Parts: sequence; structure tokens; C-alpha cells
Amino acid sequence: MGYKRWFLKHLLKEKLLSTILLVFLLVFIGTVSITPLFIGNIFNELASESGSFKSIMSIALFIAGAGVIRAVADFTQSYANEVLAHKITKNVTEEFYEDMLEKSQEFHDRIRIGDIMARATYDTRQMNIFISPGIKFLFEAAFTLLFSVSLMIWISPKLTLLLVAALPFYIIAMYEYNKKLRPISKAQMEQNSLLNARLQESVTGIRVIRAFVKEEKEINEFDDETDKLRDINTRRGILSARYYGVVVTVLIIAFSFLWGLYEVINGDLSLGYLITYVFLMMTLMMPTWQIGWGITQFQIGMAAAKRIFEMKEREEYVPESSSPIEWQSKQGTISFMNVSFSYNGGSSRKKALSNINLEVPGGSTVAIIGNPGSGKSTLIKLLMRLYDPTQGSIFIDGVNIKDILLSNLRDHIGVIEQEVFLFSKSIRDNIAYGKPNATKEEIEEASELAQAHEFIMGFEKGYDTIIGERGVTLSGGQKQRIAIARALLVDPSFLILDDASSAIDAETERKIQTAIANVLKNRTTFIITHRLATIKHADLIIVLRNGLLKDSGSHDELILRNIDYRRLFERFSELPPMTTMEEN
Amino acid sequence: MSEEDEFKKSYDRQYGDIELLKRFWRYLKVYKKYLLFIIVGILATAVVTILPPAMVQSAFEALADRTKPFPQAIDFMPTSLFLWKFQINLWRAVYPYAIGYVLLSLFLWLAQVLLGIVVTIVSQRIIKRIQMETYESLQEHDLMYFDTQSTGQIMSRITNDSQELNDMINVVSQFVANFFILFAVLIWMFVVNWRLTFITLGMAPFVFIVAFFFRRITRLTTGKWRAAIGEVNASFQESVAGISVAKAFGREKKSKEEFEVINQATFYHAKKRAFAVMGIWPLMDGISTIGVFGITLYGSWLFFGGLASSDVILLFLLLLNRFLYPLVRVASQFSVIQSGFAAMERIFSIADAKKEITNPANPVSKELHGQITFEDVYHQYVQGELVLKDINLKIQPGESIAVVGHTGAGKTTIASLLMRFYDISKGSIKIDNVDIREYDLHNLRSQIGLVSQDVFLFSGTVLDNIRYGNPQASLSEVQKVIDIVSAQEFIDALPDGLETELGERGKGLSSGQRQMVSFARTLLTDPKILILDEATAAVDAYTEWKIQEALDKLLADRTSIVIAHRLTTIKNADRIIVLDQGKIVEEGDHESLMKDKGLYSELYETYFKHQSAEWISEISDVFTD
Repeated sequence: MGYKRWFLKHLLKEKLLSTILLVFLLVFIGTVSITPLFIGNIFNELASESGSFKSIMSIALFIAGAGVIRAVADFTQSYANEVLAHKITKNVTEEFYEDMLEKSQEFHDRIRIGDIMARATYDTRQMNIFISPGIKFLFEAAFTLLFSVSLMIWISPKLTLLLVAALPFYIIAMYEYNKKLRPISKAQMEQNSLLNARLQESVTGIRVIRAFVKEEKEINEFDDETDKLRDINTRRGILSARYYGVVVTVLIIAFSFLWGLYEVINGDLSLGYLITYVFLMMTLMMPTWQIGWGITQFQIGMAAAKRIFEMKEREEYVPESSSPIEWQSKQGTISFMNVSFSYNGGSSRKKALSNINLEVPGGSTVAIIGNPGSGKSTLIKLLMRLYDPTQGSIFIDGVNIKDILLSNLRDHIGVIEQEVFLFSKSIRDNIAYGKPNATKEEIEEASELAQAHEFIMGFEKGYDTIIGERGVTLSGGQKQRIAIARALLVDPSFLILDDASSAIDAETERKIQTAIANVLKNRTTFIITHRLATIKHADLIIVLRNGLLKDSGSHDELILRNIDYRRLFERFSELPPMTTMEEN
Repeated sequence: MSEEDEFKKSYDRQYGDIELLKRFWRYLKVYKKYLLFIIVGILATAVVTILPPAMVQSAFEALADRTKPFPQAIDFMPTSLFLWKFQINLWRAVYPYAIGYVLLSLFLWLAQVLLGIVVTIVSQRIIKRIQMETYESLQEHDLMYFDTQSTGQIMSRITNDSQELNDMINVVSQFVANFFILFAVLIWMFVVNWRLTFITLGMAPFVFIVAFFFRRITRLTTGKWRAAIGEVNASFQESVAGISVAKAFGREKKSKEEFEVINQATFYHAKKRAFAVMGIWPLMDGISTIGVFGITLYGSWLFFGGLASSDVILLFLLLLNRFLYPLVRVASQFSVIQSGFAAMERIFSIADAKKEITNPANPVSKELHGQITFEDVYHQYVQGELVLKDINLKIQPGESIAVVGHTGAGKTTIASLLMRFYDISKGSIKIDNVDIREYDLHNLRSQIGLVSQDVFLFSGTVLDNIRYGNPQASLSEVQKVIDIVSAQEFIDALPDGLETELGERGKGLSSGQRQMVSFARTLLTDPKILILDEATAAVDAYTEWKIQEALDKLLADRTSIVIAHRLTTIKNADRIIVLDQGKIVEEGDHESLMKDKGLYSELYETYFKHQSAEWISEISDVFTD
């Protein structure tokens, strides 16, 4: 399905609104075109011998009646159009939102939030404007042309010749305008979002710019970008101006007046109908403007639709199995079989993980250690199915995780991320994020276990304290404990704890360690941490280096044989001599 | 919420209109020639706009009354027709008007095209210049300014507000034309037939009432609608930013439900607004119909009474909308101009914000040796809240200083002050015996390297980021700093190595990796003075230790100030400074400070001890319960 069909699908879904729009639009245009006829009749009456105030009065009443119908119809169609536009905007935004939530982590790692937001805000707005008043304008213009021109032909058939002769020129002009406008509209949108991204970066990164004295570079680059935008905008403005009203229509209108006069003199046309003619010609001015505007906005709106659609359609989600199964909590044994992974859909030249074979008994604590880039986070991401392995498989209790219902799998896995993300909501809402119907007692119990209850109660509003820009700023240690509470409340079968070491005092350190110890009980846990005490007490320690599993075992085993592992501890204490030489 | 505030703010202004116009004139006057063209063009267009009805009326009159003598030449003035009193054939009588009509239409079209082009060129150039000047001034602003303004607000000024200004420039030119048309039509009507003029004029109050009323409800409903859109955007943004959490907790469905509620509210407000916005033109059309009705009835009554000819009725019908519509536009464009003024004010407010930290009149530029002296330094960010008190400190060239203290003791402030991100409130900071306020800012900052705890990377490749401060650096120089910060291993693991593209703020790297890149970036500029503010806090202990070893050589002939929480880093320093509540309370090396049993030994107990072996066994009890 292309973006055009996607857009059309949304449009056609609103049948009632579209029908109202169309029906009242026809009534509106009908009354607009008929009024000049009444006006013409008035002048025929005035000119004729038999004309009387009474007969004129009755025509005037017709004009008034048509006017009332016209106003009501115009309002109804405009309102229906506007509601239609907003309804579609709402539907599209919702659909886009849902799609964005479903996209894989890899997608979100690569796509800037700004790019997504530009589509959610600016592009949906442009689509909205195209629908209302764009679509209305185009239809109005088409029907006005049809009605008014038919009436004119009825009044003077010879006029048809002039119109038919002029029509191809008009169509060619519009076609050209359309063709020239398309690349400009596209460039304009791209340049706009580029400029926004630049601006955002230079404002948020202002300290770095200052520290490196790069103001001039930033200014020069911004100058280039704004220059480009100015040129594009100017080109677009000039193009619109050049096709303003299109000289062909101007000439048609003017020449048909000339023609009309000629016919009156020849006796083919009454004077009153010449006036009808003049008024009909005036109704033709609006459509030429409307068509120009409508086409411009059509371009912009469709380019916006394309941008939204293309981002929606990027197939970058982890595929659900065709017949997914529900995993029930059993032993929780996890095994990695020959797992390899490289980023960018396997096309990357470097393997982030290669040939990992691993067996983790249910309920054990696994500490993963390794230098930055050794593949610690990747291992975890594969387990959560944020990505699928390029080769090999991961099993839970013998079931390939690819066969497990995605939502079911993630329900069973709790995560405490390295960079804790909290929503700008209350602390309560944040802790209850994974279990919105949790009771007050449950939330407080989880907080107690996470060693967070105390500091939360220290806030004036306790659990109702709002976090983030509009509220309280939390320290790294506090955020981490809230994240632990959030994970504990869900009580997952597996837990992943990506623990960034942060500089904290001993008391907080003790609390965090206690919280972690609480977390470890009764579930299979993977921990990435620099906290040596935690590592030391893990049931299984995995040593990764450059994507390879170098060693695994308990503290007592590794301290004797693994050089990478010994390095962690050697600066702190005397170690027993190594017994085994490290392989390779 | 902020959208609504912003909206309200747009009607609440500080500068006067005249003051704003004067400032705007600075930009306009560059384009005086174009401006003259625009003004002449607008006036000519206004005149020409009202002339076609005269052509129609004259032709009509000529045809309606075939007994009268006909003119020979084109005469545009409708009231002084038929100056030539000799009979010619009918066609010759009307064709001048028809040709006139054609020519006028062509002229109008041409004028609109040219005006459109010129206005676009001028307005785009002005917008560009305003944007650029605003951005330039932004780059000179004190960091204090960025501390108090939200990124969104600053961005909106440079993008949205300048767009609003652009709209205003376009509207102003139409506004002038409409105003002119309004008066021209009014006078013309009075001259032709004062009786019928009252019918047309009688519509004006209704137009005003409708315009006024609808503008009010439009403003009201638009405010609510925009606020609702703001919430939708905020919710969307947060959902995307927190996507990994939503996924981890399987909250997608719930998030969707929440989003639907907010989205539905926006739709509701959009509908209410549509009612107001879409109501105005049909109502105006209705008023216009009343006008047509009145003119035809009253006109024909006058006609039968011999007080008006049929061509006059025709003229009045033709002029009715040429009078009413400009009236509506003038009324509605007024609000666009109002908000344009408000936008202008918001843009200018960026340039107007006071700058404290600027280059001195006679800036000193020289190569630094790295002797740093703090003399009686006091600093406060907010009036009355001293962050640093009475700091006296002398650091010799090549010396390495560690600064320790509780959170909020003022450690980071020392780094910011040395960079002259902020100016101190009292006292003086000297480098090589010259006050830092006397140095050329560029010269000063480029010789001091700061690795801050808050890492900011730019979108672009890893290599671009490392080279940010020194774009000319050779690959071997880059390699050297990569080795120093032990980044080789993780860079090798990246999909495209050094050429890997990073997302905004360095998305794609872990926090530890980002710190290493940021560290390398600073080292590449080869600074004489190096400030490390928790530079390796997110890097694992072993890697940090490796970095430390590599750094020791590099730091030998450089002055360095290290703010750290890791024991090993602190122990390596030549001297340790202990800060407490903005004051230096202790000074010395590790051993002597431990002997003193002061704050340092206290800090050691709380912050550093748990990095040692004893702590590991001590904490073990939490796991063995």
C-alpha cells in the first residue's frame, strides 16, 4: 500500500462527514451560481416596460432565500470539513503513535526523537490543513467552474468555444505549477527539520560549544542552513506568485466580458443576462485562487503524508511468531546456543557478540563483566528480544524465545536500566507504571524493599510528588531505587539490572546494595555492575571481551584463573596466585 | 500548559508598538527601493481593484440608454461620462470599456505577481537576518541565560516566532491595501448616490459586531485547542523518549489508552474552535445577502421614483462586497498584526537579554603557563545564596589538584568559573597573574580543557565528535587520545568503528562510552590546563585505572584540577583541596589529611572507603541474610 492509498483509506473511513461535506458543498455552490441569474432578472425587469416594484420584490425575495440557504450550507460544509480534518488528524496521530510504540528498540536507537516528533506535530498539521480547507477549496473550485460555466454556456453557447480553447492552457499551467512545486515543498520540509535539529543541538550543547570556543563555527553553519531555507522559501514564494491566478483565467474572464458585450449589441443576449454574466465571471475569480492554493497545500499535505507513512512503514520491529505460545513460569532456565549478533541487521562489519554458549539455571544470579563494548548490553537486549540474534537461538526452559508471545515474554522480564527513565508524573504513577492497578500497600512495600520509601516520604507530597521538569529533580541514586521499586512491583520471573556505577556515599551505597540483594531473591537475575560486592556474590560470573565469552564461573574460581576478573579486584586486595593460565 | 501561557503572553506586551516598529524599521530600511515598489504597487493595485465595476457600469449604461450620445475615447470616471456629444455606433461606444476591463485585469494580475515576488524576497531576507542576528546573540549569551530558559522556548523564538513575523509582513501589505480600498469605495459611493450608500453603510455595524464577537470566541477556543495540542505533543514526546521502559514493562496498550484520551480531548477542542472559525464567513455572507436584498429593493424603489438609474444599482451591487470584505479583513488582520508584534517582541527579547560575560576592551592573548590563583573569590548564582566563599588558592604550573567535598560543596562551580562560564561575584581569579576577565575569551577557553560530568555529544560520527575542538587533527593524533582514554576496544566494536554515526546527544553509546569520547575530545585540543569534573564517573573501575595511568604522563607538564569520587584518582593528585559549603576547609595530601581526622577522613569514611577491599567484605552481609 502506498502513502496515497493510506491517506485515501483514512479519508474514506469518515463516510458520514465526507457525505455531509459533499452534499452541502453542492447546495452551497448551487446557490452561489444561481444568484447572478436572479440579479440578471432584476435588471431585465428594470429594463422592460412591464417591470414593476412588485415583480422585483419577488425576485429580491428569491435572492434573500438563496442567500440564507447559501450561508447555512456554507457553514455546514465548512464545519463538516474542519471536523473531518481534525478527525483524520486524530486517527492518524493515534495510528502513528501506536506504530512508534511497536517499533523495535533498534529503530528508536537510530531515529531521532525530533524526527518522530516533527511527523507527529508538523506533518499531521500540514495534512490537516490540506484536508480543511484544501479539499473543500478544490471541490468548491471544481463545482463552481462546472456550475458557473454551464450557466454561462446556457446563456451564450458561443462562449463554449472560448472556454474550450482556453482550458488546455489552464491545465498545462496547473500541471507545470504542480510539477515545479513538488521538489520545492519537499526541500522546504527537509530544510525546516534540519534547521530545527541544528538549533536544538546548539542550544542543548551550548556548554560544549563554549568550552571549545566553537561559536563561530556554529554561527557559520547556522548561517548556511538559514541561507538554504531562505532560498527555498523565496523560490517557493516566487513560484506561487508567478502562477497567481494564472494569466489564462484572467484573460478568459476579461475576454468573455468583451464577448458578452458583443452579443448584447448583436441582440443575442439581454442586458440583464449580461449582468448575470458579469457576476458569474466574478464567481470564477475565487476558484482560480482556490485551485492554486489547494494544489500547493495538496503538495505539502501529501509530502507530509508520505513522510508519516514512510516512517510508519519502516519494517523495523521484532517479528511476532506466527503461532506464539504463552510461557508459564517454571524453573526459568535460560540457555544461549551459538548466539551471534551484529548491529544494523547483520550488515555491520563487526560482530557485537559471537558464538555465545551459556546455560543459566533458574533462580541464579548472573553477573556480566567486561570492558565497554564487550557486548554486555547486547546480551541483555537479545534476551529481552529488543533484537533477534543474527545466528543461534536463546531458550527459556527449552522454548525458543522467538516462539513466545512478545508481550508475554516481556511481562516476565523486569528491567532496571542503566540510565533510568522516569516519566514526568507522580512517584506513585512511576512505581506503578508496570502495574497500574497496584494498591497503596503494594507500592509502599516495593518501595521499602527498594530502600526508596524513606526518601519518598521525605518529600512534602510523598508519593504524589511530581518528578521531572515541572517537579522535583531526583539524584541518580534515588532514580535508581525508584526504578528498582518499579521492577519489584511487577514481580517478574527474570530480572535484568544494568547498574551504572555512580559516585555515592556509603549510606546510599549500602541502601542500593540492600535493594539489589532484595531484588535477587527468588528469581533469575542478570546484573551488569561495577559493584564488586555484588559481583562477588553472584552465582555465576560471565566475563565478556570483544563479543566473546572468555570465561564463566564463580568468584572463587575466576579469581584464581581469569586475568580480566582479577584486575577488578587486584587494586583492592591481595589476591591468591593464579592457578590456571588464561586461554589465548 | 506552556502553550496556553505562551498564547496569553502574546497579548500581554512590554514594548510599545512604536518602539517595535522603530526596531523593525532597521531591517526594513535596507530594502528601501523594494519597499517603495511595494507601496506604490499596493496603492496602484487598490485603485485598479475598484475600477472594473466602473467599466461594467459604464458599458451597461451605454447599452441601457441607447438614446444618449456616446463617448469616443476611454473614460474611466463613471460620473463624468459622455463628454463627446456625437453619435457613433453602439459597438464603438462600449468596446473601450471592454478593452479597459481586459487591460485592468491584466494589470491587476501583473501587479499581484510582481508584488508577490518582491514581498517574498524582502520578507524572506528580513526573516533570515533576524534569525541570524538572534542566533548570533544567542551564541554570546551568558550560560546563566540558558539556565533560566527552556530549550523549547528559545527554539520557538527562532523558528515559530520568525514565521509569525513573516505572516505579519504579508498581512501588513494587504492591510494597507484593504484600508485604502475601503475609503476609496466609500467616497465613490457617496458621490454616485448618497441614498443607496446608507444601505451599504448600514451593514458595517453588523460586520463589526460579528467580527468582534467571533474574534473573541476564536481566540478563546484557539487557546484551549493549542493547550490540548501541547499536551498531545508532550505525551507523545515522553512516550518516545521512554520507549524502552514502556517496552520492558509491556505498557504499550495502557500508553495507547492514555494517549487516546488526550488525543480525544484535542479533537473536542478542535471541533469547538471549528464552530467559531467556520462560523464567521457564512455569517458575513448572510450580511452581504441582506445588503444585496436591501440595495435591489431600495434601489428599484428609487428607480421607479426616478432617483436612481439601473446602472447605479448595478454599481452598488458590484461595490457591496468590495466594501464589506475589506472591512472584515481589516478587522481580522488586526489580530494577526497584534500577534506579529508580540512575536517580534519575543524574538527581540533574546537579543535584549543582558550579557555580562563579554570580551574586555583590550583583551590579553597569550600562551598560558598554567599558574592559577584564586584570590578572595566569592560566588553566587542566585542573589543571597553564596556557593563559594572566600576561596584562596594558588596552583603552580604542572601541579595536579584534587577537589573533594559533599554534593553541593561548590566543586563544579570552581570549574565553571575558571572557564569564565560565569563571572565571579567578588574577588579575582588569575591565570599567570592576569585576571581571567582581561583575557580574550577565545584565547582563554581554548587553552583550558574541561571534561564535565554532564556529557554532551553532537549527532555525527564518533570521529567528528572527537575532532570537535580540533577539526584539523590528524588521524594519528586522534589515535593517540583514543589510546589514552582506552576507547579503542569499544570503538572497534561499533558497527562502523570511528565512522559510526551517533544520534542526538550521542545516542547509540553507553554513558561510559560517551564519557570516553568526551574525554578524548578534550584531550585532542591539547589544553594547557585540564579540568576533569567527574570525567570518568560512568566508566568501570578498571578502565578508569587504565586511563589514570595513561594520563599521568600527559599531565606531567600541565596544570590539572580533578574533581572525583574515586579514591585512586584522588590519591594520585599532588594536593587535595577539601571543600565544604563553598569554603576550603582542608588542604594537603592523603596521608596528612587522614591524620588530621577532619572532613577529609569523614569523607573517606562515607565516599571512598567502600571502594576498598574491606568494604567489599563488610557489605557482604546484605547478600548473605
